[in-house]
Amino acid sequence: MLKGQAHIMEYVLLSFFILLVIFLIVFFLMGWQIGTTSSRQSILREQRASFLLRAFSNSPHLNKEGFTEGGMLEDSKLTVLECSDLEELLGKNVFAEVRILDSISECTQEGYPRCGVWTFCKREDKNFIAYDTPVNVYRTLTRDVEIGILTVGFYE
Amino acid sequence: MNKIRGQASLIMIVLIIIIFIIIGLFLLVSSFTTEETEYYNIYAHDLLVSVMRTKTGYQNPCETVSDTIYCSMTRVDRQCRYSEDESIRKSCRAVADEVAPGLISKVLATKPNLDYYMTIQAEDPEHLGGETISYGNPDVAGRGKTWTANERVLRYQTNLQIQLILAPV
Repeated sequence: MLKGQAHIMEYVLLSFFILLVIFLIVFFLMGWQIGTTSSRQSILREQRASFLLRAFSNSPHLNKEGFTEGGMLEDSKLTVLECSDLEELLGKNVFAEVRILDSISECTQEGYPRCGVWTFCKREDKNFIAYDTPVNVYRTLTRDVEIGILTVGFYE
Repeated sequence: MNKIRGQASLIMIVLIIIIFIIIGLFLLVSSFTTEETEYYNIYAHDLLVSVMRTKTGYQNPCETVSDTIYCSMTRVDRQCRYSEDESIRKSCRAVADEVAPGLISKVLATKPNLDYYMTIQAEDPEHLGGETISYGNPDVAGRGKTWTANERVLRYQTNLQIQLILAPV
């Protein structure tokens, strides 16, 4: 009788553990699925920001002729670029900034060429993803080549 | 006999749980790292190319950083005049030592989590007596997580091999 009860207890315990393992596996897979989906979503967002950065820095409309690798942005082209042009180039809800190191004065058609910051489509909205990378800025009038930081991103 | 079998089953179950947890952690960690690596590889490459193309403010043969580095390895005695004040003259090596690390540090000031190490040497090691110019922190090369950019400065007599390594501080 006791031996039989012990057997039954053993099976109950084993069944309990097997069920526990099955539940753990199900919960683990669900959690992992949710985790990878959100991680995939953030990867896709980062890939988009990265793509926008490459598209801007390699755009033939903004680069000095003959430069195919890395950014050699021409200051005169940046100065005449408007938000609508950028949206045509990269899509809606995007923004960009080119800042020559140590420069603070914003570039407008009036202030050109004594300036070193170009901003396009910037809003107060703080919900955005952006990447930055070093680029060269070619000064058309002086034929000088300076180094700056290009930031391109999009609003969510 | 049955008791031993029961214990063996329990141990198997525990082992399966541990294996699942390890596989899960590995998959999670590997899925997080890919994109970051790609971005920093691009960043390292752009930083190296941009620094090499930047004008130094000195005249020929020190017009750009890459010209200056080439000059400092091949024409040791050549002097470069400062464009804004021609009375100021410096050797190519002095200009390279001043401008190249200065520019990289200025750019990396916008990314304070990164440290760098740059080496310049002749492509043919027997050329120029095997001299190597280096800037930045040499410890960076030995760190586990690094992003490397390589560029060649192509010139008539000697090609130079330039390597920039970035790593988290």
